[in-house]
Amino acid sequence: MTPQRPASFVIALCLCAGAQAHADSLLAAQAGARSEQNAPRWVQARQKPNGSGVHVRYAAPTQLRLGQAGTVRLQLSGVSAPASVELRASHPDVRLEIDGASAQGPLELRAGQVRSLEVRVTVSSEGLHYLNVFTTQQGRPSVTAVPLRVGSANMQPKPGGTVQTTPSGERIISLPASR
Amino acid sequence: MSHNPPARAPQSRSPLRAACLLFAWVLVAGCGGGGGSAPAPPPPASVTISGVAEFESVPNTAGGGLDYAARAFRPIRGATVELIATTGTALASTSTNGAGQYSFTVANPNAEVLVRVRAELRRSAASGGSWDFTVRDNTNGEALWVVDSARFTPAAATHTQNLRAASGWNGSSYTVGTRAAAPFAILDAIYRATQKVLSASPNLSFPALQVMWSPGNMPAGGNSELEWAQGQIGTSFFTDYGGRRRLFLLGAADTDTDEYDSHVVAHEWGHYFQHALSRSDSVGGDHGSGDRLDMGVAFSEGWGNAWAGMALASPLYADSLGAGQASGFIIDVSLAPGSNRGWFSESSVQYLLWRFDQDPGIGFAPIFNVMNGPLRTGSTIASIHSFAAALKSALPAAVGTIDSLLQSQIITVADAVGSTEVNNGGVAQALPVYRSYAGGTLQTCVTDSAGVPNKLGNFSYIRFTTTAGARTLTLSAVPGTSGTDPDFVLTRADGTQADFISDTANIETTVTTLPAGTHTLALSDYNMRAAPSPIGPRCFNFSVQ
Repeated sequence: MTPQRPASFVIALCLCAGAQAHADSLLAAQAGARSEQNAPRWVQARQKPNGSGVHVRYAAPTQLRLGQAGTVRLQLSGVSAPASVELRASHPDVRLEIDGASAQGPLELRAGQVRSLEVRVTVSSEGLHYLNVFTTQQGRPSVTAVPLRVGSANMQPKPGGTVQTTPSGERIISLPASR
Repeated sequence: MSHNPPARAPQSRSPLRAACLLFAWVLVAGCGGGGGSAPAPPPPASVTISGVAEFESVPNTAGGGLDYAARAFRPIRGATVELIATTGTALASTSTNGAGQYSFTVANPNAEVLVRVRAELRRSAASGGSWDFTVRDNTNGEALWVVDSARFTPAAATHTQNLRAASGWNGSSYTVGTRAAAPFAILDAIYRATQKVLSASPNLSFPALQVMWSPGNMPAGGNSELEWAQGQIGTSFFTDYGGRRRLFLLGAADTDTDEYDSHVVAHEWGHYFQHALSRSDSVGGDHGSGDRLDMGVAFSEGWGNAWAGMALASPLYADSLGAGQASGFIIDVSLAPGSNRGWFSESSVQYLLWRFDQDPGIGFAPIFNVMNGPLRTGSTIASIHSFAAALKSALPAAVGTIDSLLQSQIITVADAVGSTEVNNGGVAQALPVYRSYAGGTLQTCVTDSAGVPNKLGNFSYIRFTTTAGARTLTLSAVPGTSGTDPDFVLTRADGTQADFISDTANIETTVTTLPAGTHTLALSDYNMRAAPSPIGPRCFNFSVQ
């Protein structure tokens, strides 16, 4: 089961200087990322049917150190109409910022452009947390979650019920009826 | 689950009560039970245990978010119910009816039992249809979700045991370990989808489907079985990878949950239907309402949205997400698209299929018959052209209605191959929809002008006719072209398919045995579809020897 979370809180990001780039510069960014030793690999997030249609790519450390900042790079494309992005942490122990600054609210995405964001992430508790990237285009929202693993956190979610094996060998996960 | 014994009345401390109890003990002990108090009646030889199983349903708001204020309990329909002994053994099994009611009559267990409702629709019968749909937890060894009653000992010949699977919503969030309703909300959408199909084909046998849902299913990763088992499923999707038909659904609270977004469930079930009971020629990949798509993708995704509307009797496709599942959106598939209209548009397809279903002269049965018949067995690509041509053939009286609707979306259908189509969506290479090979060498081109990897023009479709026997099929880049990697998918005259996807540069060739008839070859250039930026049209020569 996922850790119990209080109401999600929003830590918006400011745009890193000169981060907006045309699509052509995306390739250069990808090539640059590949050339770094031990650099996080770029991941193309899957899109939900009927969602925002904004393409999200990210490069994140496979593991973060407790209390030490790490960098998550985001590239947002596929924008052909009014669109925006908003970043939220899945847990209050996750702090997000860009260049030491923070701002509230969604960031605009411009049609035909790739927007790059560099997010500094600091996590103050061990566990598997997420940086949630909410995109909206033409009124349709979508979300992509970037895993943030700190310490020796188990990647396996906790069970959402009682897991047991029946005498016939079947695996079941049970929850109590409310009456 | 621990046993909770019936509450006892508090012990009286009064002297009078103590004296009465002593008197009663003396009577019983002195007379061997045959005195002033009648013996307890023997326990019934059999007991009937019955009740109603319900789940808490959460509807969508007009904006698509979840409306917890309007949540309500609804019957769990068609699900397997078991009577479970303390050993865990099932003593009896039945299914709930359309009102969520169940009933067992069993030999009196004279011991504690519980009633278990399984997130499972299962029926095996010679007639009346058969199916096997289960909702499982992909993050816990694919365990089947169940809801259990408290333990009880039947004391009379009849015992009522109702069960409610609650949402676990506490007013501001989900309480950990209480989301019992979720698997049954998913099951209900599947029940409705199944019933819709059975309305057209009452004896249909549905291949098994496993639905994977977990509160830990996040919109992250999603590129391997290992990630799926960790709850990183990317998004809600259907797959028949590895020969298993599975439907993965998001469940991460405050991020994206889909268990109550019944149209999302039905959309993905629609893809299962296509793969299991019709045919999908979609290559998958990202897509949207504004995209000019390959016709197989446009048809598959348009079908998914329209089907969800048909199955759930509502054109409003709702999807919730975000903090408190309060955000979301609505798509009304009954609204005619005003832009990006054509055979390459999923929006056009979903609108047309919805309208066909709603038209009194057409309806769902002919739609099912086409999907399960000609589209499944034919050698043309499953597209709006092949679908509409078959529908017109099946319903001569509705041809005028069908053509009028098609024309409203700038689609012309005279036959399954779209031979009279004139709307190229701004992609010159997109027409003709199919090119005919009549011997010698046929040159055809693909393009990325509408995007990649599943967009209009990324594939070129070739039809050719042979007698039965082995043939050599060859695709090669036209002289002067380099850096290509041609691939093709062959759909034979009998409807069987095969992929030919070697990584040999500039050529793809194979020897294959063909039945007599007309076959379809879908040509693409892997290097174009995988390129991060446009590289322009590429042309190939095709020959059959």
